[in-house]
Amino acid sequence: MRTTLMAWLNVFRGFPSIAVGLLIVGLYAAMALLAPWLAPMDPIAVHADAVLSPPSARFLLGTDGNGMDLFSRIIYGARYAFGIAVPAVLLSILIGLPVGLWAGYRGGWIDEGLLRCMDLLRVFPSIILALTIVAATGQSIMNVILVIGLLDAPIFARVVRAEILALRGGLLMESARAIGNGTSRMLFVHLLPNSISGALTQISVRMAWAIRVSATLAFVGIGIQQPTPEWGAMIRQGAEFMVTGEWWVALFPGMALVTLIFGLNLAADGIQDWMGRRRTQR
Amino acid sequence: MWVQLFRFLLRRLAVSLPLVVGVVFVTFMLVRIGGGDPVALLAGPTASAQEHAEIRKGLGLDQSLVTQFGIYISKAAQGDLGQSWLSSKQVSEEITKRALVTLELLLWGVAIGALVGIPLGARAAARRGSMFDQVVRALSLAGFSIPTYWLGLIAILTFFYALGLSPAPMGRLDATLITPDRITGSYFIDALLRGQWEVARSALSHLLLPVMTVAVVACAPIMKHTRAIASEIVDSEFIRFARSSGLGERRIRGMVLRNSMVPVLTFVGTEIVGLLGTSSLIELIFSWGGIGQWGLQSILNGDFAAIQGYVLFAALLSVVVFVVIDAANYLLEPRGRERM
Amino acid sequence: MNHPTMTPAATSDAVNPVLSIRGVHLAFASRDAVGAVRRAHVLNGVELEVGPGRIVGLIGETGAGKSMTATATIGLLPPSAEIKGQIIFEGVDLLSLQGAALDKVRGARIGFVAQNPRAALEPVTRVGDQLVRLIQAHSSLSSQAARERAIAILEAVGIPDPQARYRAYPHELSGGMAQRVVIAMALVNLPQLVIADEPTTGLDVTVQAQVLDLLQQLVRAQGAAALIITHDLGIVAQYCDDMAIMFAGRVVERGPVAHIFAKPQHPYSRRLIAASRARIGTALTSMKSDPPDLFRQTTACVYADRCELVAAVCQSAPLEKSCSTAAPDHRVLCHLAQTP
Repeated sequence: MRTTLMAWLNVFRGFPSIAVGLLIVGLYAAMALLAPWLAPMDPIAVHADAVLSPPSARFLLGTDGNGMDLFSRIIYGARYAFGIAVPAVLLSILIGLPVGLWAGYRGGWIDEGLLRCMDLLRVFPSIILALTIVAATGQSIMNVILVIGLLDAPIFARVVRAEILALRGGLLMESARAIGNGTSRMLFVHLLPNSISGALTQISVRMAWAIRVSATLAFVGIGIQQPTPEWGAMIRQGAEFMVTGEWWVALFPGMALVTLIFGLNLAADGIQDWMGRRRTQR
Repeated sequence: MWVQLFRFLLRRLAVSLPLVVGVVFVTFMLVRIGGGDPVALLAGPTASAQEHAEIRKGLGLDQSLVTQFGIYISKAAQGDLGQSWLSSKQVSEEITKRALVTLELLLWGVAIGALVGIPLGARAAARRGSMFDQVVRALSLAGFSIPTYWLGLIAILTFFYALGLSPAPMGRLDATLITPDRITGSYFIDALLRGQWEVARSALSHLLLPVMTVAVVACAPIMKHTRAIASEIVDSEFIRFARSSGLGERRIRGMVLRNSMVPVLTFVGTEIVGLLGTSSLIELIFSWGGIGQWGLQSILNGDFAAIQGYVLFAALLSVVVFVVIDAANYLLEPRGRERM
Repeated sequence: MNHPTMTPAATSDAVNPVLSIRGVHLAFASRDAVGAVRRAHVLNGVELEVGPGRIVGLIGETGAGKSMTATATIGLLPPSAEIKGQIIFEGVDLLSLQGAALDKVRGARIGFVAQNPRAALEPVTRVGDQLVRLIQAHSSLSSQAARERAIAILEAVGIPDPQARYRAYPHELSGGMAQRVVIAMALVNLPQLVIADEPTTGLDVTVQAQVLDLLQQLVRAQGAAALIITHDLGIVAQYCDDMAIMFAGRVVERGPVAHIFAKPQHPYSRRLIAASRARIGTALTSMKSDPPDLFRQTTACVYADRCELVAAVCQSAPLEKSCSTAAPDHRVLCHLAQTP
């Protein structure tokens, strides 16, 4: 137990970006989980006497156009960020992993279809696609999760597929087959663990992406709306006040977004370096 | 070689068009299957059932979805993209009016982003592990993490509200000035061409903030990829051999540059496509009046034909960019020709 | 063995050697996957000389340090390399040279033949242009004169239709052709010393012989010296005047090829030669147990673990300078070599 801990500490020492990134993400996750205890006020409680008031002792980050406390809203906003990103990424993995496994192992029309899907997504900026689909299918959190999950699935499928193609020619498969493993056994016992490592970086990156897209959707006015304390929706409201100088309404939610996304990207970068280092030493 | 290039491009186009149709098809289905009944919107609250039916028939909504799509495609091929029922104008008209406006923003932004990002990325690759490299990596990571619209808002706050350097984020020109006669569609360039210095200055000052925002967002990935590509080349066998032949740092840098150009430019091209979405948001914030803003508003308003037109435009633009990239690859990269 | 009509220069060390490697230690520090520091001792006191006009074969198994010796000589070590000792060429210690001074030497006074010819050539530039660039980097010839020189050397290395091949890209050449081009690049500036790092890897057997014949012929014609790095004793036997055997970062035995083949002194040399002879015969002498651990540093004999002649002195007494045997130019790194 202790040696595992030492090993992890060494990893963090060698790759500080992983440590810092995970720390940031951890802080926000804690914020999301402990929101009811951390937030000083009810995030949707209206303080009619203090609409659009700047940061003060009473309202640490000020209030927005409806007189709601920004500080509490930002803390609760973490719930929405994770609440969308985590299920969305899980969904992508759930769909992408088996498709990728099958495409890599069996090839055939699933493989072709996968490549066509990737081409389709490449031809097109995905934000617009997400916007259109969510707008068309109804503006609920569930739809946002579904759409992001679906759009990201091909990416995971492709990562897994690449891993498998690399492994296929290798000794691992030959020896496994020689021992007489059946198809499904091969898939689950041998290929799956080896292909997960490639997906690790993507998980972090896709989570950052999911948070970003859901905030963008809310900003444009699709998906989550006021008074829900979602960061993107808050920025949307803050946009009108930017020109009149009530800067805090849009600034702080944005900073929360930036920091969390940055933390995820940083961790992803570090994981990629770490994976690369591990690979050259195998 | 030119004949082969032409044949190659034709093949690429042939492959891409089904993709475009596919994208439009998906949008078509989604927009119709999803909520929003335009008939009710158009008819108004006091219309009778019969009027509803007439409007429905007039819009062609009484036929099956597949038929509707068929009709749409055939009309689109002739240039008729339907009518926006918000503005009652032809969709094709709305698009052509705004296309150049968006392109101006996009191209300036990507150009500046590339002009800054490519040298920085190349330099970081040459000095990997140094302080400069760490800073570049951190900056590009930060750039990746900032939502574009928020950056735009901060820019407005800083330069307009706080410093008073930029004009109000309302459109492309001072409301008091008259737009110059249209040559290219760009207020700035047209005004310059006509010698209207006041107008040119105003157009430029309006261009600055949105373009810089796009540039910053474009810069981060370009910087990161240039660094990655250049690093790979610096580590390559032929650079090693060139060093062993005593070619000197200056020549080596030239070699690295020459060999990275094609992959880097390819990436910049894909960036342009990716930025279509982001620039739409910028247009929204700055009331730029381009296709992006129009498209977003159409999505919010459930304006079918307009949404499809927007999607079609984006898809076609992507195809054009990718074909241009492929052509550049074919011409500049001797290795690839056998594969093509 | 050596071609009868081409006699090498008189045996060597009496005259000043072209290249003199003295006491070179090389280590690399790195962090592994868990972040701990590990130091690999790649070269441990290498002693080696190349006499004027002599072709020296540097032989050893993978990981013995042959390529690293060449890399150190040509100045291609990464900045993280920890190197001690001297490599004297034309009166100057190459290890003390940097930048422009080093670039004057390599490519002009020392030619390098790389291992993987197609990877060594720049992909996006024509072969002839690469040659011209190399010529002009080390001389003040005009483009026309340089071009003529390039075509001449292409012909000299046996490339058919050099005028046409001049315009070829590296990927259009076969492996053998590409290696000829690399040899041309190594020799075009008339160097004093040619270093060839496993010049026949990846080539067909028939092509290997052609390439080596060519190399030997051209080196002799120019009166240059050569250092051929290989793991193939057959090549050493056929093309080299002198040989040096490396094991775990040290030269364990060196001297004229004829002497060593006749009377190998070091136990490792004996097994090496026996193994290659036996390969043609029936029995396969097993050569290795585990490869030596380069992370463990010792001044005593590294071969002691698997030597059949091992005595107590072998594991305790330091072994830096090589011991001379009967002939002054035949040297062995072994405590027990006094008794012939």
